[in-house]
Amino acid sequence: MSSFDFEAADWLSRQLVQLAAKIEWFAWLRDQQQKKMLGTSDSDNWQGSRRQQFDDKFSGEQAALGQLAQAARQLKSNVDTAIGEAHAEAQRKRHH
Amino acid sequence: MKKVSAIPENLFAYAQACTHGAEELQSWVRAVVTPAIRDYQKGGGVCSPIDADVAAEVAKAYYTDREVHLVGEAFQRAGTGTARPGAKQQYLARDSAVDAALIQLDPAADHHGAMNDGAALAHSLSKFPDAEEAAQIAAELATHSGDPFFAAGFYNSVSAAQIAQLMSQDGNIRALAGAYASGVLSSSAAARVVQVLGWIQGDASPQHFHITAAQQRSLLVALTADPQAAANFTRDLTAPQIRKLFYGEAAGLSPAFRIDLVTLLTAGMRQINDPAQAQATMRHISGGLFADDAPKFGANDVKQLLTPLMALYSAGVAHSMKLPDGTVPRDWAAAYGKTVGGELAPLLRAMNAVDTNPKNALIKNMLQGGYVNVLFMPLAVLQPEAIGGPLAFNAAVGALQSLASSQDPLKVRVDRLIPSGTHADTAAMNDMIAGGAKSLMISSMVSHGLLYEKGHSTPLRFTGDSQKDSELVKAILDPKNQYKYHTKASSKEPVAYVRDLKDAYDPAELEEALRSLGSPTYEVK
Repeated sequence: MSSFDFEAADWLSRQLVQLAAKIEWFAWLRDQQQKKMLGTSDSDNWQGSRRQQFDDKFSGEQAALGQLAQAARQLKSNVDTAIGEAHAEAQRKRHH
Repeated sequence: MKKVSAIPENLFAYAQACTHGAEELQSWVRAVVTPAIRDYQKGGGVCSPIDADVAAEVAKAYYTDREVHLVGEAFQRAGTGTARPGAKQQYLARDSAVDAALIQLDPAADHHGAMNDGAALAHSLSKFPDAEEAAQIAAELATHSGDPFFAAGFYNSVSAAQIAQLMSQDGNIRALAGAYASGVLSSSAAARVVQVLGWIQGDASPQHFHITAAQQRSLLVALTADPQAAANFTRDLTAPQIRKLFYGEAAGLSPAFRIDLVTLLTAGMRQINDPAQAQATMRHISGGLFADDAPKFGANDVKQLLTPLMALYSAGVAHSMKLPDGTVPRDWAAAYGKTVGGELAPLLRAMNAVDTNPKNALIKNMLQGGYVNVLFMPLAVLQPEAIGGPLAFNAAVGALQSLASSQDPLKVRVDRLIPSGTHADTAAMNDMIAGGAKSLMISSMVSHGLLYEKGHSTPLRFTGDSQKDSELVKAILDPKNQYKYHTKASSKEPVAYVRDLKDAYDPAELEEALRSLGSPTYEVK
């Protein structure tokens, strides 16, 4: 097996945590701004058919962002598993 | 229709905060996550391209949030402010008005998804695609043939070299025409297409890719066949671009090119219904073709191109007409005449400069054949809405045809056009096109109920019987009846007879046209 780059794996694992956090922060930002600046769909801030279209797009995008944050966490967990396996492999090699 | 409310300041604040957040996240993903994934993969790790997925989703959110700013602007343009002392300005507007204003602010408003997808396809293309790749692209573009915005997004992101290579496939040419039709092809993309049109095989330069004459023609024909594409192509062409296409090497190498190009411009002009825009476009065209510093037209050029050029200029003149809008009728007629004369001037001047001496008989024959078709053809295919309804047009065409045949046998007319030993009689040529414009002017007025027969209190109207209608226009234009038909008296001015309108039109038109010719050979009638 070719040598596993532990440094790169470790770095990626940590960036994936960051990625999940940043995606969630971005989604939170949009949510907060939407409530504060746009209000409900019938408030004076913004009404009409374009508002409806925005609301639909917005909720779809927020859901997708949430899923991506999850995916980032899952990926981190996969990377961590790979790191663990690579360590174990390296251990086995040393004891032969 | 009920009005809806918005507070643009809040929309701007939302858009500002969220697009800023999106940009920051994108930058970080590009700078940190993408390299991290690459390094991990190089080191033997397996990782799905989550960076690309995040980038795509954040881009979508970005465009959604950016549009919120545009909606705020749309409300400001389309709506009326309400009085709310101490609070942020509120606007009320009809939904449809907001929509219209939004599309004006950003024609691509609802199409960013498709355009992004098209751009993504472009980025996957190699720098110098081969025939196989060109075919793959054509297949991919075909699956999006119902979405010209995809094609526009694609072509906005490809280089001139790539365009040249892609043109080996007809499917790519058709998609390019679709991209023009969408209206969101960028001006830099359009400039690259113009560049490629000049890269015809056989030219002296080996420094770039070439297209064949057949591919060049195929693109011009595809653009001509799609009215919207033709209009956008024509409208966006600059004078230097026209100059380069028309007088460049490529034109010399493919004989039909100039004719195809003029045909395309004519098709485009026929779709431009806004008079101001039509005039601006004609200015660009004349600037490119006939300005003082342009190459001179030779007798051979005239032979090939006079007929298509007259069709182009007739369409330009017709679409530059403003409808009667309540302006004082004499002023309107004079302005009309001035426009017609001014627009024709460059063409007339160029024709006047052609030395036809040794080739009189040839030119004469060609002109004779040309006039019969050219004078009536543009009138017949103009969009009726442009001048006030189908009845107006048909009447105009009918009147003109019978006027021409009853007053002067065509042969005599043509003999007068090119008396032997002199230059082409461009005053007579001017007369013929102007005559067409005059009859359209009169028909427009009848369509709008602006002309009366003496002694009658109800305005003249068309009946729908094309024979009768064209007889009416002919009668109105007949000098015998010059005091029989008139406009209504208003507070601004007394009755204007058709004779007065013609009097206002003629000098304005002739003056404008003659001013550019500067020759004393022409009689002011």
